[in-house]
Parts: sequence; structure tokens; C-alpha cells
Amino acid sequence: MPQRTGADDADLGLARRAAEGDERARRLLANRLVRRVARVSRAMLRNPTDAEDASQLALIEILRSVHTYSGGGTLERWADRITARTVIRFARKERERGRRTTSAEAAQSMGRRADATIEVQLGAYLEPLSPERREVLVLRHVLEYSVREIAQMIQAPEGTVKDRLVSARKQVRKMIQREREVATGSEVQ
Amino acid sequence: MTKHDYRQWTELADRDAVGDPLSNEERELFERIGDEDPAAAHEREVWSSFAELPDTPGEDDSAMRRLVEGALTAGKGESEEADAAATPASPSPAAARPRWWIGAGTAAAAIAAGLAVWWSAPTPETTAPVVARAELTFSAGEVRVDGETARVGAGLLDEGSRIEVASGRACLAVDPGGDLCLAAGSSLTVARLDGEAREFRLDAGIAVADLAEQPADSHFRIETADGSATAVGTVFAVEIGADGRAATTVLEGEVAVAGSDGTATTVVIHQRAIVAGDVHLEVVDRSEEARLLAVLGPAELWKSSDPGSLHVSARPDGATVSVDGSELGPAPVSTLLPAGDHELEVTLDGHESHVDSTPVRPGQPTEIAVVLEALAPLEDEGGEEDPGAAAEPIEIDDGGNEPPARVAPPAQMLSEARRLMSEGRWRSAARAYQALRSAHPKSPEAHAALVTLGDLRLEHLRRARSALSAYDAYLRKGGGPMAQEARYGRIRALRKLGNAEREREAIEEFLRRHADSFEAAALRRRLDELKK
Repeated sequence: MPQRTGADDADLGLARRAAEGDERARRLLANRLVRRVARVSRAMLRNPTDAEDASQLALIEILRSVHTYSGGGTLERWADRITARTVIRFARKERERGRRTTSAEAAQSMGRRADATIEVQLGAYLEPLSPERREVLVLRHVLEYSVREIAQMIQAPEGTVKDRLVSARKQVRKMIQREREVATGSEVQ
Repeated sequence: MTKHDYRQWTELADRDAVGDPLSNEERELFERIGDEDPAAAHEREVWSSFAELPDTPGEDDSAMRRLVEGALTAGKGESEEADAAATPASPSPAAARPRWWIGAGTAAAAIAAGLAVWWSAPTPETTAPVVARAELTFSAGEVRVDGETARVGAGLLDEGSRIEVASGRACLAVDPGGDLCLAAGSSLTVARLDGEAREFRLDAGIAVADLAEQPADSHFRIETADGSATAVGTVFAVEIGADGRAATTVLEGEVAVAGSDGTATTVVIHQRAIVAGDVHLEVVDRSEEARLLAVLGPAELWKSSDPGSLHVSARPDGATVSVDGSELGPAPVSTLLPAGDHELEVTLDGHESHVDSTPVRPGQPTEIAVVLEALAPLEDEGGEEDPGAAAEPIEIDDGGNEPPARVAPPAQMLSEARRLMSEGRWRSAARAYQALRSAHPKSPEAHAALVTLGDLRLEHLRRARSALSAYDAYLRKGGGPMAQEARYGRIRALRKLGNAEREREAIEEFLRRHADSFEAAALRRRLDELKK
């Protein structure tokens, strides 16, 4: 049975070179992670304009924090956590400022790909959710953080996270059921 | 299964999702209903799919480049915290975005007749000179450039270059512009290629363009006999139908379409414009959009900072080429690929597949010539199975408990899957194991197949998450003599997925149950690493 127990030398090497300021390594790292950062941001934020701005901040933060990567997991998983934290901070500030771009502005951003960069079905399920429910659902089911981790990330009590998560799941469940009814003609509720 | 079962399952699923512990009985019930109730099984599958966050084609490359450049620039010579302000790095991504508007008049006047589709960017963002170029980046099947067999890396295309796709597909990268892919049966000529205009003439077939924003006072256009489609930034397809009429389908964004009478009509995503005197609009369905977007699929292959090229030829004719599990099309295939090792698979019915790890070096061509050998008839292979039964077609019973009458027995299906494994035909073997599980879901053979299926997905098909599902399913359904391997497989899958926390939990469970196994020492070391 094949066994790999050592750290991923290639990822570690890339991170170290980037941390030392090697421009080529920094570019390689940014190119490798940018699409995933954009997808995670897009999944967490409904407004694609906000998602693009949050993606930019996350990528900057990733490059600044690259010296903290120490292996033990892929660069992508490490970057996910930074992206999630950055997006959460961004969303909170946006909510505080009450800023909302119009749907027309939203459609103009990032080449008009409102939900094209995340899996179509996932985007459709997330679209109707409130920002708070969407955030928790993505952290739990897309990025697979535990309720405790999510509570720490969004600085909310675990009970609040659970309430939002269950509410979000129920909302998505209704969509899943309706979709299945349409597809199969069967009644599930 | 009843509605009550499903409701009970949803309650347990919600509790499980929020981390509330389930008793053994509840866990067993939860898993049983999830396996047996179609609504619960469907919902479980949807939730699982959330975690895939799959790579999807069609992401806006210019937006990605903008993000990368913004981040790299922000890192130079400034020290403020990234989150100190909600305002992104300068230049603001929002400010850098183009503002599209629907125009009419000049573009319509420039087009002699028929169909016109265009965008305009109102504000020039740069005055730097625009250098235009076009290059073949992908070809699969019978593709010719100026009458010669197409080959990626053979040089830039010139004005007047003609690309003919008799079978398969071909893609060009156009700068500034984006990707332009052609379906089988297409014929396209590079009409103009300079800073002001990138123009192509489509004489037959389907051309699908995925464009980044274009420089101001510059356009990208596909002409047909009926008119032309001009865009500054969008995804659209131009197709010449059997009746010779050109139809433009908008897959992203919105456009203005002018008929021969000069009147402009706004066309939005999901619509198709056909010009027949005036502009006729119709709504396209998802399958139609998917058909057109599929033409663009290969354009994702070459997007890498360090690509090399791969050229695969195969004999006999008709072989299909796949790279890293994605089918590219019929041989010969010539494409740019990111540098690194790629799994190349060349298959042809009735022939032994070629499966190999193929290194692609940056900036270098890699040539692979494959000769597939015909497989001996099943009757000649060791005589383990009844030859007559082996030749029977396999039918899949989708959900029923009893297999259809013509399905081969489970032992025979398992044997066939093992044979494919031994030949290194990984994808075919995976399909055979899945066919076994579908045809005989309750058989011991189908249960045991889960672990092998997990290994196949993990080691040969690069599908760690699916592998994890297979191992989990084996253990969930009572485990068995291969439980140790399944638990070890889980650890490897979680490591590949980069989930250190769950990997640690999986190792701890493995060590609790199999403390004396030969993997234990290495896993303890790994556990120490993870705990640091």
C-alpha cells in the first residue's frame, strides 16, 4: 500500500520562496490560488461586486501570510481559511455600512458572470439565502468547518451558528424537494 | 420508505450537520434511510456536492489576472493591513471594471446586412498600443490549418489563415480577445488581425467565443454571410444552420442585435437571435446552452503560466484521447497543457487501452505515438467465465432490488472488473465496479467493490472526494474484512483533500482499531506532525 507521510515539499518550497520575496514564486502562488479564492468568495457573497473586492483582499492577505504556511495540508486548504476569514470581515464591514450595489452594477462586475464561476446548482441554491445564512452554510457545507470553528470565525455563539445553519438547510431543502418533484413527478413532502 | 421516514431523516441530518451527537441507533437509522429512501438519498447527494466547489470552465480570465496583478502590486512597498479598510487595493477592482452599454448606429451602419451584435466600452482605459495575435491552442480529430494537419506550437496564425475542423474540435487563443473554439464541421478564416480589429469569417459550423474585455476603440467580430457578431466582452456562439442562416446565441451578458432594416433589439442571456429580414428572438434551453458551452471546454486546458505542448497520435483510427480524466476528443490531439505530469489515456473499443503518466515540460513539445493492440476475444482469456454469459450485455437496474433478467451474475461482473484492473484500464474498471454495484446493490461482491472503487478513484482517477465516499460507504454498511484498508484509504483521501483535522481523526481511529498493523508506525509519525 503506498504511503506518503512527509510534508508536501513542493508546496512548502513554493511558499518559502514566496515568503522570501521571490517574485516568480509569488506570481505562481497567486495564479494557482486565484480561481479558488474567487470561487470561495463568490459562494459566500451574493453580490459579485463584493465577491470580487473580497477576493482581492483575500489574495493580498494570502501573499502577506504565506510565511505562516507550514505544510500539514494543501496550500488550497490553508488559503481557504484565510479567504473565509477575509470574506467574513469584508461582509461584516459591508453590512455595517449598509452598502449594497444594485443588481445592474452586480451584473456588470467580473465580466457579468454573476454565478457562472461557482457550480450552477450550488449558486441557485445559495441565491435566495440571506447573507448570514449563506455565510454559515458555505462555511459548513462547502468549506467543511465545524460549528465551533465557524462560531470562532464569525465571532458568534455556537447556538446562533446552529440556528442559522438549520434555517439555511431547511430553506435549501425546500428547493431540493421542489426540484426533485419537477424532475421525477414524485411528491416528497 | 414513507414520508415519515424522510422527515425523520431530515431531522437527523440537521442534527448531524450542526454537530449534535447521534446515538448508535439513530446513526444506524439515519444511514439506512439515507441509503434506501430516494428523497433522502437525493438530498444527501446534493449536500455532498456542495463540498466539491468544482473547477468550472468559463471563469473570466481577465478578472483573475486583475486580481493577481492587484495582489502582487499591493504587496510591494506598502504595509497596511489588507483588512484595514474595506476599500480594495488600488486600482479598485470595481473601478477597473468595464461599464457596458448597448450601442447602436455606427456598428449597425458598418454592417452591410443581416445580423449585428455588439458592445461598446465608453471609456478608454489605456492608450498603450494594442498588439494582436492569434494562435492554435488545441486540436482534436481531423483539423487542418491552411490545408496542413493542425499542430499546436507551429506558429502564429496570419490574416488569411483558414482553420477547417472536419471532426473533433479546435480552439484558438486571440489577444486581445479571448478564446475561440470551433466544433466539428466548422470552417473559419482569420480575416483581420490588428490592434483595431480581430475579425474572423465563419463559413460553416459553430464558433463559440469567450472574450475578455476589449480595448476601447477596438473590436472582436465573427462575420458570416448574413452579417456579423461583434463583441467587446461576452460569451456568445455563432452557428450556421442547415438552412444556411446564422444564429447568434448569447451565453453571457446582453447585446443589441440589428437586422437588415437597422432596427436594434436587445438580446439577453439565454436568448438566440436569428435574422430573417428582421431579427427573430427565441429562448434557448439549458441543453442547447450546454451544447454550445461544451465547444469551449478545451480552452481551459492551456491556461497556465508554464505550458508545454502535448501531441498524441494513435493507431488504429478512431481512438479517443483523455487527459487527467477529461475526454479531449478523437486522436490526433495537439494541445497546450500546464507543465507537469498528466495521466494520458487512449482508448478504442475492442483494443487494449494505453494509460500512462506523461510528463509535459514548460515550453517543450511532448510527442506520444500510441499503437493500440486488439484485445483477444473474452472466450480466449483463461476460460474462467462462461464465454456465452460474458458476451451478454450488461443492463443497469436503476434502483430496483432485483436485477433484470439479462444482467450478468455478480461474481462474473466482479471478475470482469478485476480483469480490467489487471490491464490497467482504470476508467473502464471503475465503470465495471459501478455497474456491479448498480446491478446487484445488495450482493457481497458489490459491498466489497466499494474499497477497490475507492482505491481506483484515489490512486488512478484523481478523485479523492469520491474515493472518500466509497470508503465511507463500505464502513457505513457494516465494514467487513477490508475495513482496515477502507480506514487507511480514508486517511489517504483526507490527506489529498488537505483536511488535516479530519485526517488526524481518521488516523486516531485507525490506530485505535489496528494498533498492530504495519501502517501504524508511519501513521503515528504522521499524527505527530499533524499535532505540531
